Amino acid sequence: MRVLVCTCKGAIKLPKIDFGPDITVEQHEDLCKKKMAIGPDEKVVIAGCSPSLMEGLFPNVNAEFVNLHEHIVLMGHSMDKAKDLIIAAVEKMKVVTPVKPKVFAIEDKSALVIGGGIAGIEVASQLAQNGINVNLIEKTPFLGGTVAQLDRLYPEGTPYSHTLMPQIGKMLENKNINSFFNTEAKAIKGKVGNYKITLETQPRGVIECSNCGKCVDVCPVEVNDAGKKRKAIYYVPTYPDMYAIDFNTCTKCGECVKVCQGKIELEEKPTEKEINAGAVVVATGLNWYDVSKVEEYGYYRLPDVMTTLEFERAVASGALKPKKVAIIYCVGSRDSKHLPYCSKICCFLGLKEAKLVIDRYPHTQVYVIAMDMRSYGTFEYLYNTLREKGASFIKGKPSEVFKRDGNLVVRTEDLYTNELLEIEVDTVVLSAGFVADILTFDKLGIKLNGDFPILFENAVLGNTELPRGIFTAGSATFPAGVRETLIDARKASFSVLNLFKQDKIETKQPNALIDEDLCSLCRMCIGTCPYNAISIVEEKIQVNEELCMGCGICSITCPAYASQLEGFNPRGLSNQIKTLVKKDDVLALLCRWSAYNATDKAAYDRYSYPENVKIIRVPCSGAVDPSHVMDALENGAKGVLIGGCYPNACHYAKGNFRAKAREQILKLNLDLLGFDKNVVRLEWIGKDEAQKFVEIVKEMNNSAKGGKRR
Amino acid sequence: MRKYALFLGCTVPVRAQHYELSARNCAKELNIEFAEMASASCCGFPLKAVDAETALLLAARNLSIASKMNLNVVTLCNSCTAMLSDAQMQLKNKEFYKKYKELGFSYPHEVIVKHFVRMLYEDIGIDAIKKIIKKPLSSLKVIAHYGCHYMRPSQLYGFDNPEVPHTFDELIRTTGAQSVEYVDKKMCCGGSVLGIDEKLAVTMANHKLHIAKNNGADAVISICPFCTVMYEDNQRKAEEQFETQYGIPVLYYPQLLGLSFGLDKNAVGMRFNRVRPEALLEKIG
Amino acid sequence: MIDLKNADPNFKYEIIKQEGGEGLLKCFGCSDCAASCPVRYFDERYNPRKIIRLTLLGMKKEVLSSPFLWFCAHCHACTERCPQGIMVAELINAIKNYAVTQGYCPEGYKVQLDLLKKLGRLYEVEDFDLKKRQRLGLPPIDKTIPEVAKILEHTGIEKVVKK
Repeated sequence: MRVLVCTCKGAIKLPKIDFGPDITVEQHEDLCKKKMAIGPDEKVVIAGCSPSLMEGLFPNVNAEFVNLHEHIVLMGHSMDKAKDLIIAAVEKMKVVTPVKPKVFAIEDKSALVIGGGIAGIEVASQLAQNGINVNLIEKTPFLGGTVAQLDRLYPEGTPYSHTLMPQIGKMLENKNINSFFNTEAKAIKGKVGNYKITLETQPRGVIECSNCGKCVDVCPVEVNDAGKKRKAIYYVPTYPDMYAIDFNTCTKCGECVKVCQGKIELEEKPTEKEINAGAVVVATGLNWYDVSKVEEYGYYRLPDVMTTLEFERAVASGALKPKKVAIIYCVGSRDSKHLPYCSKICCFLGLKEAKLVIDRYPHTQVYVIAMDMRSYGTFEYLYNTLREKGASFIKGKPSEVFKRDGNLVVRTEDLYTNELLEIEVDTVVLSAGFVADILTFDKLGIKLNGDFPILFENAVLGNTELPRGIFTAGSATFPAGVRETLIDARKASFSVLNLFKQDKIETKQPNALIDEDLCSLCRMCIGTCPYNAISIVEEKIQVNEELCMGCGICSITCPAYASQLEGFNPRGLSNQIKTLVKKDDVLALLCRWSAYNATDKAAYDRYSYPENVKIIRVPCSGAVDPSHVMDALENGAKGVLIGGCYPNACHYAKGNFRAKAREQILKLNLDLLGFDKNVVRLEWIGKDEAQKFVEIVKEMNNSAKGGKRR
Repeated sequence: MRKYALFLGCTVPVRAQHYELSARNCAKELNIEFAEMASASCCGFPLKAVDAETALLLAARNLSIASKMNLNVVTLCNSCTAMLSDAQMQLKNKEFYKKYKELGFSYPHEVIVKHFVRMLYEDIGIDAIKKIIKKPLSSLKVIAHYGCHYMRPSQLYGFDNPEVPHTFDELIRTTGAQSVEYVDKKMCCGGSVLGIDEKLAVTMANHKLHIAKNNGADAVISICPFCTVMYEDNQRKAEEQFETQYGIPVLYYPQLLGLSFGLDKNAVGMRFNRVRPEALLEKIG
Repeated sequence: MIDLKNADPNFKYEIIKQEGGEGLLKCFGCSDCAASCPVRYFDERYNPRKIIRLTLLGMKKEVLSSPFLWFCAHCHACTERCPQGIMVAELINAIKNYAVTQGYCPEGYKVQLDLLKKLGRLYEVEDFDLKKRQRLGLPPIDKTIPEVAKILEHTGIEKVVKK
């Protein structure tokens, strides 16, 4: 092991340290400007400027960085402290495992697009145009998704003539797209560049079709398809140009077979197929929230209460000619009993419905009942237009919808006038919220952060995305309008093309290594991993290299210390602490993403703190074990500060929440052992909060009770 | 044989003996034994607006009586159900439990609190009750008044569907009587505001009496003495305030149930109903 | 016009400390509670949303001295509907409790408190009632329950109310 020490323009005059024959100390002038040759498996201690700078100058090395510039020179602390910091760093590096480079070979440069709606179609087109082979799977018999169900997109016009058909036409020009209908991905295994997918295809019923339409005439089953009536055998004029049977409603009476001029097969079985892909694009689109759960609005109990989609289809087809309509907003959204978040697009969707009905039937009275109007951007103009056309806007959340003397009545308070209103209408439209496509993300093994798939802050690649080979386009992660969906789809295509430009991805992202001999399969690590990266395969613990983000939380959770994070090691940290911390010191274990940077800022802004405050950088506040705190206290420390990111800002999603949970239990135990409860403190320190950091450590240093047992 | 501790509260044993009588007699038919809670007091509800904690302590004290008997509690009044259920949840809270112990009470066994009607629905079951019906009251049309604290707040009870309630209607239909489906089924009787603003409370009671009249109902069926005070005792006031005539009897559910079991009118205390139920009794023969 | 110059920004924190007052700060004023409230339906002078709004704005005197504060029937129609998960009836009750500590208590409740202290119940059980029960075959009940008075004394509720 080498210890590389920068002389910092002569400011660092280290006393001699003898580490023995295996460890050499090298002094360098302007270490930051030198191109040092460091082997990929070599362990080094680099003592110079802050790691925030040095990590960038020495990328991908197995190093412990000692901050001599910001923490010693700028603070005016002694060379003895510098020496102590270096000795402790060496102790840590002795037991640390070097980070191995991970190679993901991009073996397969074809893409799987899940979803044949507008997002999926756009992605498939873009990729195919750039020479990529695409397998597109769609779970219904036709392309088009939600857009194909709509009457119009505001303000461009109808989806078929204006938006959707040109998209589909463009897609079909490419010969390297295979489309599978009535198909879903049953299982997805593998890694980026090498996914193996099992597809399951349900029978279409119609094998050959001449589009004569005679089957529809004889089919006895009428289906209400989201506000529009159709038969069990039906046609959507997008693609493919064939009818299809909806086997959920088909009674298999056989009438269609009798008149079919092509070929209909009613007894086909589902089939399976295995395909490979190098990247997977999830474009599964909008999932509407089940508004029958919002019981007070009577969706399934009362006739003429419908969703926005059903209303649009019913009015556009002429089946519904309402005289008085109430459109209720936030149905299911922003409600702790249903969906706590705001579903973003329903405000302008509701306005779209209001405009549709007013354009068709100018004398219809429209009441839009909304708590808030989030018609962002240019949708504000739509809001203005509707007021000019005479729609009534009522601010409030209706308490219920009921039937009285044959009419539907909506009861709400109007916050503008402070009056309780009872509005009699013939149709009530519920602007429902949306949910993320949990099923597909489950199959991909991607964990949800609350209600939506966790987005990765990729520490090495520095971008926010799902694991390297999985991309999303459109509303699959969060509801989006058509404009945003198309932009998103193009971005996703670009990411896939970028990926396929490489033959392999090589990273030195630290991963968790789990020692099978020590592991007892207790599964505690699986529960605490924010990324679902750990699983059990054939009775053995396995870390998915693609998903592991190197936070170190599992290595602290494991009761047997079976999990070690490459480049960071609880035992190494323990040795470092035991070597560094002396009696009456204050130890600060600070997370590298936020709290640690505050100490650098303290140096630049000239906030001084005492010399006995010893700072160690950790990957995450969630990677600090209670035993580390005890190590410090055993050495006589006055206090231990654990600094982390603010809640909901943790770089690893939930690391700081783990730290909080551990802090509570640790405080209880320390109290039992006779320590003052404030001898350990977990604080949220932002990367600019130098003053906050200094105030806390000064408080801890001045505490008379700290470190002493009762 | 099911055994419960019967909590009577303030009003029932003194002002609504027909509720108690009919409930006890129905229980006998259904093989339910009611044990008496010695020194049971007011549940605490009247004090809630003054000091919620004191009110809960009163309720918790009553729970300790049942707890020492190692029996679950059946209540007859909606408000008592609310207070006792709330106290039962609060006893799981460390702070509250401490205050409770300071007063010298003990809670050796966990007690489950259920309203009489809920107990019939959940513990006995409609099928078992149907078997004992001897005289279906199919000529009767009634208004079911659930009352507020039978299902609300749902965080406390987790029973029935507070938006689309059905359990009480089902129990009424079991007796053969027709339970009217009406809007505002969930509306409060106004009892809690009687002492604050009588006119307002009577207006609230009138709303349902009006619905009962419009639907040609033979009776309003109540499961809480507070609600009965509003619909029965204040019926005359509603008639005066709104210049109308009602004359609608207000029955407690066990009275209706008892009649369908074939019990005679005295066994269900019909002579204590203030709005005379003669017409109703004639109808069922 | 409401002049916020005289508002008490601490008022809301006092209410949060009361039993049942925890949800106060979550309110975003959607008015589902007022639209569900049966009392408000018949008398618009009572409005739970308004009471909560004024509390959040710090209008302590207006809220506590308002006679309409006591109109809440505690029926929980609001609690069932609130999208922020606030137990609204409990919140209004918490404001009532706080009002009592500040010297605002309707006479009716003081009378009930006295009855509970004396009898342990709201109604007096006279010999006549006991005989009636006996004739109906109903078991006897205690005439008074002194333990209730003990609880009332222990929590000091009487002193608070008599202020």
